[in-house]
Amino acid sequence: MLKILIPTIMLFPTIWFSSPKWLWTTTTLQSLIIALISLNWIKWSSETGWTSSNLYMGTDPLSTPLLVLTCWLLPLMILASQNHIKTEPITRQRNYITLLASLQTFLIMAFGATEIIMFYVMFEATLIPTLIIITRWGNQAERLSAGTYFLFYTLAGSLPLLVALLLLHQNTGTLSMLIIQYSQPLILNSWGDKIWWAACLVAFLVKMPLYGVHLWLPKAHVEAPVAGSMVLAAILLKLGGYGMMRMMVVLDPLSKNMVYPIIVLALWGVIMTGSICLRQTDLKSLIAYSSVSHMGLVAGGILIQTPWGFTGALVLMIAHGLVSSALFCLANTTYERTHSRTMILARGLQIIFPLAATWWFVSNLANLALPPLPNLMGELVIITAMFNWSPWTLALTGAGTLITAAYSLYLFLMTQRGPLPQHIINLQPFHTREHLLMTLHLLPVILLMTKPEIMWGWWY
Amino acid sequence: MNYFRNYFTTFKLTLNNGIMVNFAVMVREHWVNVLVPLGFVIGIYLDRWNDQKLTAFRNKSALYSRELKPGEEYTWK
Repeated sequence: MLKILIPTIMLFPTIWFSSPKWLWTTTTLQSLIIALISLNWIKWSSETGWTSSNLYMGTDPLSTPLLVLTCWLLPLMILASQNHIKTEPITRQRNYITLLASLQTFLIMAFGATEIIMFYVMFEATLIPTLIIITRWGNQAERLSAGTYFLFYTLAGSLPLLVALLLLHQNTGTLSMLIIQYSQPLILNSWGDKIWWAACLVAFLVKMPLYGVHLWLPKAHVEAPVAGSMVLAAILLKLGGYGMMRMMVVLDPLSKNMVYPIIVLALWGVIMTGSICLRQTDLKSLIAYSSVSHMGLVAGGILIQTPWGFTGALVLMIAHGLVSSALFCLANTTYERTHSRTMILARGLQIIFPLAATWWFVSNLANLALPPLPNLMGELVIITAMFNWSPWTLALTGAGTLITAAYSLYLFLMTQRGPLPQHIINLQPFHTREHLLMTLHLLPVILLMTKPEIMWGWWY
Repeated sequence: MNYFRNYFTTFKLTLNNGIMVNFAVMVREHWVNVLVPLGFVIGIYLDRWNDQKLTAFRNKSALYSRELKPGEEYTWK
């Protein structure tokens, strides 16, 4: 654990002391090296279920894929931001990369925490760099309201969690994830206990986000610069899913009946947000809503609390993390050329950028869960688990996949096909950097097809 | 400042193919690349130190106590 965390912390002096000429090269290279070393986590040699590095940090099969994903994403974020940050003064460039690196540090500590309070502190700490990235480097004035939404939605959800965790600590005497699963099941039957149950989950449901408390997400995505969107879609949403998986162990006896409304809302959200995608005009907003739709499925998978549900949720989280991040990168390449997110203003790009159209095609197929890809595996496992839980859910999940296919087609047709608008006369060609970026996103997705068991979590 | 400039230009080396390498300037430009590998070394050291400590605890316990085979490293992984 520390062999990744300490180099990540060492990125800060590297960022600030490297010469301006080498800043981007150095940071991309160093973070990529860290990411490659982090692949070592996948090689699981523990006999105890946990590999702990000290009293407060360790990895287990649930956190490992998310940790590797976190490390993998930093070089990609730096690669993606190069073009639009390079024009700024050097200090601001350093500031920006520092924020991205600090986000990785906090996320490693959040996913690696074995103490729930430490997880909570890091969960909150990730808000600060994200908020600064959105409100400082966003493109429009609306970024401030997006920042407010982001901050207050998440905080309003997570303050009850703090109280609930302190109560839990009082009752069980520990908040260590290593121990708490072996403690006596809590006796929960009063109304107060039900409120406590809700408080334990609501922070994560807001972060996921659950349909109904999701309004902060499209705003944040639309206003954030590309690295902000990438990290939000790929990792920060997954913090919610990860936290829920950790908390479900403790909440057990009460969850059986309490989860019904939330599952209904999550599945209904899959359909609703999918339908919202069908009538989007804004490219980034569409991808953001498709994230909400996928995360609804993940929430459903976690809440039914079966091994299949958990496995499917983890697989879908990892696959969706890579694919949605790839889609945001592609959206950014269009944005950097046309300076507009409106889809109708940049149609027919396939004629100009055929290779980029291939990237769009592959990412779209991955997003709609084409058969051999891990996205399908995640969705299918969750849908099967849900069907086993109640056959009626098939109507919702089935319609959800259908709508996903429909809006993916819509997205592809709107951006890549159709007539080229008259005003597009001079577009910058694609950089090798952008192709590399897409390769680094999609290569792991394709490789994961061959060895999916590394993201099966506890039940492998 | 001038002193430093002179200092940096003195250590020049001309390779066989005629390319001149100025080591001092190279060190000044690229010394930061040492930091992350250094962090990696420190991290590995601390991780191993912790494994060793936990192995010691584990070998003292009633459940897992045993003599390590010769050449066996850490039982805690």
